[in-house]
Amino acid sequence: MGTKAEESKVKTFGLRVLTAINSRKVRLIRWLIQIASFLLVNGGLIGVNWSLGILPINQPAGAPFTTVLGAFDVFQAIFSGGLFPFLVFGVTLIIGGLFGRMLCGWVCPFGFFQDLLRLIPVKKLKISKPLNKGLRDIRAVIFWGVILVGSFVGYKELINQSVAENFGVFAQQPWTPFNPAATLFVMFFYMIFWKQYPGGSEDFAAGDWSFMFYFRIVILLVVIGFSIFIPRFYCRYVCPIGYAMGFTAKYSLIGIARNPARCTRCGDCEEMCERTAMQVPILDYSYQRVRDANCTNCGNCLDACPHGAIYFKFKG
Amino acid sequence: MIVILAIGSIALVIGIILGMHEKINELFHISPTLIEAFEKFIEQYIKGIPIPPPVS
Repeated sequence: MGTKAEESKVKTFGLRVLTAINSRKVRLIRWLIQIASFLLVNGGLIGVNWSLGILPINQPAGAPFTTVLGAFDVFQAIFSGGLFPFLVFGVTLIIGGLFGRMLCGWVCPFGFFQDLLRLIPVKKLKISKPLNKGLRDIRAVIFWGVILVGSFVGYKELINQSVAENFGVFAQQPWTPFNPAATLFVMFFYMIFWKQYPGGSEDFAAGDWSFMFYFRIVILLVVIGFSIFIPRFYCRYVCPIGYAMGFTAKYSLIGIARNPARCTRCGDCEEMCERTAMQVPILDYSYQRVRDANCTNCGNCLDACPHGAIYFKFKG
Repeated sequence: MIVILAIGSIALVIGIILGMHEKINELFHISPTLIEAFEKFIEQYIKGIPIPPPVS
């Protein structure tokens, strides 16, 4: 009996080593893709000036170095102009239908930024499942709030009774002034660059230095602070484009599934997701597919599973 | 998934037919002068910020 137990221990150890190697590969691949995506999306910084179109990621469209227009920025601008954003809608649905929220986990520059913040070695906050679920509704409020404001401004544009002046900086893109990614990647950048740009100081409206300027910095600092203690804080509770992508994530081509023959329901996957990603209750879903609007297909649960029970499934 | 992709494709085609990409380019167009200035700005960090000659 003792030998069998030892054998079993060795097998388990072997399995763990194999899983660890495999997981390191997944993790390494994701980090590499995130770094490459960050550089490509902000291509102007490395001399790439292509236009790669619209992607459903939190990339501010106002940066002179961006190669990608963030879908939500474009969505807001078109909608507030009194048009239905067919192109953004189409791109978002196609990408969402194929990859779910994979771009959030593998491509989004602000997601990458939060992943870097997560590496700061402090004890992470534990959020209870009900609270986590409740806080996620903030995204819905933001998303539908933007739709409401955009619809109103857009409708007024259509009937030639523009209210854009009344809404000020919120008229064209109601969410962008609050978006910490825009503060980080655009506002701070312009603060440095503008001084050297001919005529920049004139273009940089005095109003930008007012209350809104400091308010944006406070929002950014709050998001950074929380992201250190709660992994992917912004993605979990704030990001409106992530919320929109969630509608498609449940039915996308690529998703996460569990092998019932291997899964022991040990909970390591959920623990890892809570500690490093979106706190998805993986075990609450059927083996066939984790149909969760918040799963970003990051693959951290694949890393965590000691039995290799979790895998990427290519079937909606 | 197929329904999502179908709706997405239809929306994309309508968007292209309506020329929405032009509208988007118009909205998010960044002037070439700004791009040029930006490239110069970045260039100095790549090539090194020139050190001014010492004051004699």
